[in-house]
Amino acid sequence: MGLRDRIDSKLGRGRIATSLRLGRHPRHAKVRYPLGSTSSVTRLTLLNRLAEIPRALDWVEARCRRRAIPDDVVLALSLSLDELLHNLMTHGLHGQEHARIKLQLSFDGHQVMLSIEDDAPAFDPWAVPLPPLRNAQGEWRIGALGLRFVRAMVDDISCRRIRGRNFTRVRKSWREARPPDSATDGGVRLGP
Amino acid sequence: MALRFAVEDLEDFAVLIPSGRVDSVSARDLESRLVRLIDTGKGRVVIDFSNIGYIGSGGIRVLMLIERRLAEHSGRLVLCCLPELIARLFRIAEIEDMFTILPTRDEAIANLGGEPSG
Repeated sequence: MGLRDRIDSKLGRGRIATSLRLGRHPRHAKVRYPLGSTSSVTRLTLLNRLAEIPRALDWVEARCRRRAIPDDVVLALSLSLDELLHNLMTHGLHGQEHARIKLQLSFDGHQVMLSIEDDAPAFDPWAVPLPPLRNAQGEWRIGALGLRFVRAMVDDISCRRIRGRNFTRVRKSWREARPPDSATDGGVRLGP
Repeated sequence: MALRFAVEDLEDFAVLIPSGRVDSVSARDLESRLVRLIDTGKGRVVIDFSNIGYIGSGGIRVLMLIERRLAEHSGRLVLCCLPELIARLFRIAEIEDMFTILPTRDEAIANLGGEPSG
């Protein structure tokens, strides 16, 4: 089995893992699909600390900028990751200082998938009912605003629970920017 | 990207110009910077958003708290130069009518009774 076959095989089973040693900062690994594919996957493991959130956001922004992902897509992903991680760290994993959170970014054509893997109690940010933004007196309240932002900014969220771990996946896609079209915007048409 | 601040001190009011990302962690920096301005006697504050990449729910919460605190002491908070992506978040949160939001810094300063700069 050649190197490329072994990479394919590992990718297929999702077994390329980030090495992790307690007491040391987690390393992150990057895996590319074979040449000829536009897909690529990159991973990062976080400690369960709020101070890790900016590092995760910097990671998303840097990986997206490297691929010239549109600004509104980067914003949607960063905002979603920020809100989901903050919610996870302050609720689902609160007090679990040894917990680890695994992130994965997958780029495929005109869409990006952001995956979050954790071992908090099951929680589906897509299914939880959102309270109204205003109470009976018409006063505004902030409850669940972060989840409201996430739902509004991304295409969809899916959650799976496998062997006691949550796999939350956020998908955001975009349309390719169209070059100026001579037939619609009065540009100069070249050729016969 | 860490959140950084520039301040234009205009005697009885101030213009705060943050740069970077108001995420769930740096929202606390925004809050402490605004509280420090208010504690030094600035009852009228402009926040210029032109260098802000995004603001999450934590940052929105800070703006609401500061706006209420200023209003309780007859002060005012005016926001200006919101990029479209941030204006969209304000619409999602249904808070765009809770603040005075103006397109330019000069208009925001004039709204507070100040002389536009430059």
